[in-house]
Amino acid sequence: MSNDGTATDISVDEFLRNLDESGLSAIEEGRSAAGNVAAPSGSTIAARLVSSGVLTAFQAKAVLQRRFADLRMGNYDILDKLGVGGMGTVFKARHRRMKRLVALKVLTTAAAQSAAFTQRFQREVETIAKLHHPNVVMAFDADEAELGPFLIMEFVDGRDLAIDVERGGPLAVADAVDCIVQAARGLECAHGLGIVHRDIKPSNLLRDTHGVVKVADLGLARLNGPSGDSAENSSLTQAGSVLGTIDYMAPEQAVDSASVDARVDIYSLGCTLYFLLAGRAPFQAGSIMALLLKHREAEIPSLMAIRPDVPPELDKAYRRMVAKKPQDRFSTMHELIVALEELRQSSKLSELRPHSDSPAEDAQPDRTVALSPGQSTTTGFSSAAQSPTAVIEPATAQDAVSLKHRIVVLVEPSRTQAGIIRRYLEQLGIAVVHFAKAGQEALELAQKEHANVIVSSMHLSDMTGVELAHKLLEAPACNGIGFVLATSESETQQTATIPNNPRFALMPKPFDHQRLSLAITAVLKHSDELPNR
Amino acid sequence: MENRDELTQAFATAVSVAIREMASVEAALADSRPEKCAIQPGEIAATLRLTGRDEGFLVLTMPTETATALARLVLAGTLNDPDEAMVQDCVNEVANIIAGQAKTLLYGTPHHFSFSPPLAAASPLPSEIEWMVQTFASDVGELTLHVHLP
Repeated sequence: MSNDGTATDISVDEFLRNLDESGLSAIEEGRSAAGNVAAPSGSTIAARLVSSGVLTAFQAKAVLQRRFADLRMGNYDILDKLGVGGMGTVFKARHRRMKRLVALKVLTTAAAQSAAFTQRFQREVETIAKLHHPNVVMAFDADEAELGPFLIMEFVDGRDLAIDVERGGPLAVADAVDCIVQAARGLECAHGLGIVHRDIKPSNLLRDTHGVVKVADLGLARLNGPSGDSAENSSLTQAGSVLGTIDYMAPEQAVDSASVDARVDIYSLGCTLYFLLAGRAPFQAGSIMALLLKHREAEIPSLMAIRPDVPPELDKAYRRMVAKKPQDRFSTMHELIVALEELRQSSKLSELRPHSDSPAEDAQPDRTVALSPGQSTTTGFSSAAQSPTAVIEPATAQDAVSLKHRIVVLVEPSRTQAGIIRRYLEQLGIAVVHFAKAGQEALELAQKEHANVIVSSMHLSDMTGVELAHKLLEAPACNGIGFVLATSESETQQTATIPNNPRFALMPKPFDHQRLSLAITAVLKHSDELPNR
Repeated sequence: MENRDELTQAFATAVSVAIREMASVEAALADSRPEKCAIQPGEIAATLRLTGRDEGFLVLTMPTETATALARLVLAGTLNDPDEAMVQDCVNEVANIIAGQAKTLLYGTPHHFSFSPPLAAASPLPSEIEWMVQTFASDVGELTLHVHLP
């Protein structure tokens, strides 16, 4: 297999043998394709079978690579990988006999190794199985295979609302309200059974091809009620999900997730409404903690300010949904549904999606990096303090600067963090990563290996990360090398010492690969323009 | 930030966010209490020195099984079976992130502090000091945070 994960080609005979061995019952079609393709090879036959609908691309790749175990789980044929989350993977699958399409959620190896996880997984499956509502993705069953336990869910033919907005822009007001009402109905059912979702966000609301919105990923849900003590029900992981999303999280949930009630879902649904109409979450900040503080303390952004076609009554309802204190919100989903239905009847809601140059785009107040308290980015990432250094504009920057074939020097004393960063860099397609044990070694290595960027932590054995950054930025020989400082200390507290240079970016821990990508991209935008590159 | 509840909340939030972001696991505050010399032997512990007006400490402790399970989640996709040293390193890094989050939350208050990198595992701690001890329930087991603010 090559580095990018694609298979090297195999002969036709080998492919047909693999196909036979795979148990996919497509050998006749494979032989037929082999007879009809000029200059056949394993991959050309595979491509033909994919284009004719006999195999999915996922199956063809698995057959080419002899990964037969990936093709089946219990009584299901795996058709495609739908997504990978922190705790597991979601597959599209088909029952071998019933031919019913389903979504399978499989725990990661790490989660499956934990008895506590698997027990709770089962307990949650039982809880979710109680939910039958057209606006909730249903769980059909749970089973166990060699890879561990898995959950069998309703497969929704459509896409989630995050992707919908990403591809088509913000929704029409009437459409957005309709989505929220549908989701609220599904959640009302869940709340009636004492289930709080706790992870409502656009990507967890799926809209099928008939326009029906379904609430997904109830596996993170918590059972409230007399029997719901926090130790038993404090949380549950669901494959395919990353736990909680600060962008949509109620302030009280970040502090004590065990004692929250249904009103956290109302808050998250309000933030989701904002996203559907604005194309972005209501708050942005340079670090996770800064974002959390904004949910807790910052003024609620007005819907009408970003979308003039939003009627005041809707803005008022939204403000009540995202009130900082739970007692100031709608007390139940039913109350919210009634309010939104009344609004739909009493005022004409716009049915037009805004143009791409609409106020939703223009009104973004903080597209660039923000660095002092109160400033923020639209990306959830900051680059430096007070005097912005690298300016981060996620979509355009990502498009403009390729990370492939880049060379990174990583200096991070924590083996844990080094491992995580290396994994992220690999995910981003970074070509080469050199490891340095100390600041001076990182400087020398960066020059010797013609590195594009140094990623460093704050506490090094011979100097601080800030000192290293200054040395790099002041050395003529290092002109053109960018610097990303990963630190667990807030960006707001180092304004006096951090470099004021567009080749420098500060990246608060914890971060994910997207934030790392944005940081590297931001500094590369400037480094690439310098003569040494 | 004047009262103890707010201080408690800041560290509880720091732990919750750090564990959530690093391991996709929820850590729910189960108990918070003042206690003297609460560090239990036989547990995995990560210690950071806090500096402010005086010297303080932040210690994160957990049973070995919990630490191992946590490390597996944090390192998922990087390392399937972390050894003892890696588990310790992972707990150190979690403690480091917790301290960073708490520092951010306490910025601008009289409790604001700076902190050191994790100390060596065998570093002695002063006895007879009062700790704020917070216990958290999580899917990987119980975690305990001990804080003696400077």
